[in-house]
Amino acid sequence: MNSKIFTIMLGMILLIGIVSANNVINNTQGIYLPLDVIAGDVFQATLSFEYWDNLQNEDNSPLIIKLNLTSEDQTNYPVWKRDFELNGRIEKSALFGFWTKTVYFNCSEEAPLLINHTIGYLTIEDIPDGVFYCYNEEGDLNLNEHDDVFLNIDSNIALWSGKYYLTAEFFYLEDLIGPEVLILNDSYFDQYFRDGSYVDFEASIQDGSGIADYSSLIITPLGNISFAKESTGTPDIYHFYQTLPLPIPEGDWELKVKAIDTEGNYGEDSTIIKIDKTAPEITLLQPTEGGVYTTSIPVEANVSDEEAGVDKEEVYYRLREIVNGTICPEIGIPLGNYSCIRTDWINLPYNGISETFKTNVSTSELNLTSGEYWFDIKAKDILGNEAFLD
Amino acid sequence: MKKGTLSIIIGILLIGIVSASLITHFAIITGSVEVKGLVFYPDSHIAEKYYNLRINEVPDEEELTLIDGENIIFETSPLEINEFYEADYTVYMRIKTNVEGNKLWAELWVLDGDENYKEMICDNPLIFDIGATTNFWTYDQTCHGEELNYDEEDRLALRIYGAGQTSNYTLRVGDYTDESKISRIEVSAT
Repeated sequence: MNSKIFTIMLGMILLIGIVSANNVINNTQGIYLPLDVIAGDVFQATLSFEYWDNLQNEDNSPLIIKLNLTSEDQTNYPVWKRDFELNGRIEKSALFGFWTKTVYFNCSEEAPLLINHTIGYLTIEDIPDGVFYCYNEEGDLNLNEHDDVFLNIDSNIALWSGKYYLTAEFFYLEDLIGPEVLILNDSYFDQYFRDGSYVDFEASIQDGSGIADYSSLIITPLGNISFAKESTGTPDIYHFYQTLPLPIPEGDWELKVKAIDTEGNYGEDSTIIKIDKTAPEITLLQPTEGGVYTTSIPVEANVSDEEAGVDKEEVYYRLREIVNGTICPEIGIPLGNYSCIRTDWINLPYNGISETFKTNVSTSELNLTSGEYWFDIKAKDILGNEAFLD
Repeated sequence: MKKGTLSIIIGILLIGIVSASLITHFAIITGSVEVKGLVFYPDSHIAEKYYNLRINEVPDEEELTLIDGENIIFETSPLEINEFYEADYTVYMRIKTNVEGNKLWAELWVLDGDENYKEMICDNPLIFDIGATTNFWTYDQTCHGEELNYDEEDRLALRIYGAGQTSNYTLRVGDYTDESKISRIEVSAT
């Protein structure tokens, strides 16, 4: 197809249109078109406009131009696809022309059309013949006051000779999708926590428009517990941390990370944080009550903790002599006018074969004399919840 | 080109959404343009098999001669279209001859991808009564062509030939100060 380019200069039309407080324009000027062209020609249309409120397009408002070409006889000679090819550019200038910039855009009439932009994407399923969507995929057209739009229109040589109308509508792409929030390393929350536990984790928060605010909290019946937050230095990765307060009730509670983008869209991710405030369960196997032992006392206990798990280093026993029916008091508590034997808390080791905590106590090593003794045992889970069996 | 006026409409349109939506930003503005049928210009340069027939492009001025019994064919490059609307074809020829009253015939053809005659566009040839012998004169004739189907490799061709015995004709193609006198074929909707 042979073609030649016509440069157009035409009269001016003013239009006032109001849509919303932001992105409101007036005084649209255009569309400049030649009075006539020859089928097969490439001709140019230009237009420009002004804003009500300010001189600039709102940030992050990707501009999309919808063009519609129709003939004056759409019944017999409608515009078909490939009757025209369109592309264009925006010429921007500021500082009395010392600063200029050209932004090119492409126009498509093929459906489905995926308009892909960092703030979101849009699929236009049906594009009627004669309709084109023009945009710049790498960024918004950022059309500002006094910017000029130039459309290059390449017409098919077989175009029916007659009058054609070009309609231009401007849209901006609005972000409707909230931030993408993802709690990283979710397996961190497989463990149990309790008041006093230091909880810290990272989350990824991403959004094409930008993050306006973000936060994290635990939701409990006694109230919400907020996390402190900070950027990590890695883009889109944020750090949350908190020492869990008292009281925090036992149970499984929702931990949520929330974010709002600059367009007011909301996103969140959540997980379950498990709070364990229950002490282990201790079952004493040996010694038996009333048992008589001479040189060696077998000590064995079954300690279990269904939630956080037993701290195998924190199972202890002790022996306290019973004198005149009174159990020898705690170390540090005055005895009064008598003496009695009592041991410190002695670690009860874990036996992997029996899967119990057991040992044989040498009476001589502990300097135990004949008599009655009270046996105590205590255990902790890995969170420090402590149980006593006495 | 002349300046023209434009008409304007105001409206609001909302497009359906996926993860984003198109929000009306501005009002609608409209302009109009008159599209004229394309114009073919015979050229003195050889294209492939025949002389070139340019589309919407005026060639350099040259003269071509033919004598009775010969014909000159001008052809376009492949048009790459699927159909062409019902139209009137006006052939302008800036020409002179050696004998007043000679007749020059012109035919419009569709050639196939191998540059063979495929279909005649108008039912009958155009006949030009050539009177000028000293200076060039522009003659025109119009014929009507029905809606045509094309294959993408098809071309449009102009065949001219003399119908006399010993005449010769000089055809001037290309640029001229008066655009209306340039040898050409104008297409217009009926």
